[in-house]
Amino acid sequence: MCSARSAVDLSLEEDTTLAMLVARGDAAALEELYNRYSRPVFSMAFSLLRDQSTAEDVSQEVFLALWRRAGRFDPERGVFRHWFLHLAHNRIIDEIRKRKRVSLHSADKTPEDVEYLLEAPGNTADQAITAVMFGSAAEALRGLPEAQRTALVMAYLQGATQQEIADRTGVPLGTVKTRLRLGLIKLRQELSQPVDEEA
Amino acid sequence: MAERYEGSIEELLPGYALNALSPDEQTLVERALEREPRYQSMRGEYLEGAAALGAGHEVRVPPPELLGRVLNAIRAEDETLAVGSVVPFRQSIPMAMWGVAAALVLAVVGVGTMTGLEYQRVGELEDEMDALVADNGRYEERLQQQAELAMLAVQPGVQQAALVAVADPEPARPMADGVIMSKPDGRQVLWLMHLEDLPAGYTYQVWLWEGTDAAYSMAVFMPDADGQAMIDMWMPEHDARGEMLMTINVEPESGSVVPSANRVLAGWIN
Repeated sequence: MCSARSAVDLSLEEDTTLAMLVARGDAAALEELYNRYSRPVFSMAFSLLRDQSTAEDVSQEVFLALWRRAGRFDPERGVFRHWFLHLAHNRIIDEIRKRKRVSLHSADKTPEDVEYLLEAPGNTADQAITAVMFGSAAEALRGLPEAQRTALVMAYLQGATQQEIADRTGVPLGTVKTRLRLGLIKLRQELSQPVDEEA
Repeated sequence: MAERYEGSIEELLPGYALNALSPDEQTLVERALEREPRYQSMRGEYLEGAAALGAGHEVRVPPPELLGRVLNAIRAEDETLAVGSVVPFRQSIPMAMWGVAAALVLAVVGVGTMTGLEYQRVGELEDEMDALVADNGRYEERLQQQAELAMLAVQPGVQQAALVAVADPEPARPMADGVIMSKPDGRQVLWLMHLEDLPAGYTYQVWLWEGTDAAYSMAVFMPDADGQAMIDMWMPEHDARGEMLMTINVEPESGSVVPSANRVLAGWIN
C-alpha cells in the first residue's frame, strides 16, 4: 500500500518535472510525456470524434499545444494529468463544436456520431455511455442519478454548453449547473484512485 | 465590473472543468482563477472528476507515426519562429488575425533561438489567439443564426411580431427590442437585442400569458456579451389559441414559477 502510493507520487512528480522541461523547450521531455499520455489523449479523441484521421490531427494539435503552453502549468494549482486531460478535452470539444457549426442538420449525422447516439429516437444517455465509455468510468456514470448523468453526458460527450443543456432539457440553467457540480463531485469520489494509462 | 460575477464563479467552475461554458463564461472564469487563489483548489477538484471521465474511454493505440508528426510539427514551428515568419496552422482563423499574431510573435521573439521565457510568451500569445478564435466562433455562430432567422422569415405561414421595451433604458443605452417568429407547427424563434447584462443571481425568462393572470414559462436564458440572444422554443398545440401576450422578465437565476413584476419586453403573438 505504502509503496504503491509512493509510485503514484513519483509519477506525479515526474510529470511535473517533465512539464517544466517542456516549458524550457526540451523536446525529449515532450517525447516522454507523449509516451505517457498519447494513449489516453488519442483514445478520448477517437471515442468522441469517431474518426481515426481527425483523432490523429486533434491529438497532434493537443501535444503541440502542450509544447507551447507547458509554461502555463503551475504544479501548485493542481496535478499535471488533470490539467493536461482538460486541455485535451477542450481541443476535442472545439472540434465537435466546429463540426456542429458546419453541419447543423441531423440528416447529416451518421450513426457513429455521438450527437446522433444521443438524439436518435429512443436513445438515452446510457446508450451513449455504452458506445463511448469504458470500465469504471462508465460504471460510475451509470451510477449517477439520471438527471446528473444526462447533464454530464451532454456536456462531456456531446460538447453542449450549460445553456444548451438547459435549453434542450427544458430545465433552468441553475439546475443544470447544480447537476454538473454534484455529478462531478460524485465521479471524483468514485474514481479518485489513479488510472493506469497503459491499461 | 468583475465584482458583479463574484457570486457565480463557483457555479461556473464545474462547467469550466467539463469545457461546457460559452467563450465569455470561460474568459470570466480564467480571469477569476488568475485573481483568486481560492478558486484554484475548487477547480482542481472538478478537474479531477473530469479527468476520471477522460481516462474512461476504450484504449486506442495511436499510430506509431503520430509521434514523428508531433515532433516534426514542433521543429517546423520553432524553425519558422526562428527565421521570422509564422505559418498559419489553423485555417479557420482569418488571415488578418494571423497577421496580427505574426507581428506580436516577431515583436517578442525576434530572430534567433527561443528561451524558456520566450516560450512562455508564445504560450500567452497562443491564449490571445484562442480568444480571437473564440470571438471568431461567436461571430460565425451569430451569422448562422441570422441566416437561419432570415430563412425562417420567408417560409410560408410564418407570423412575425415585435417585442418592445417596457421599461426605459438607462441614458445612453439602446432600447431592448426583439422579434418573435411563429411557425404553424408551433415552433417559435425569438431574437432579442440590446439586453442588459444582469447582476449575478438573475436571469431572463420568457413568459406566455393566458389572459392577465396565468403565465407559462417558455424558456430561461442569458444573452451573450453583446446583449443578444436567439431562443428556439416550441409552443404546445393546446396553447396556440389566438393572440397571446409574450413577455421577457428578469427572474432569479434558476427561473421562477410565477413571473416577477420586472418586465423588460412585451409583445403580442399569434
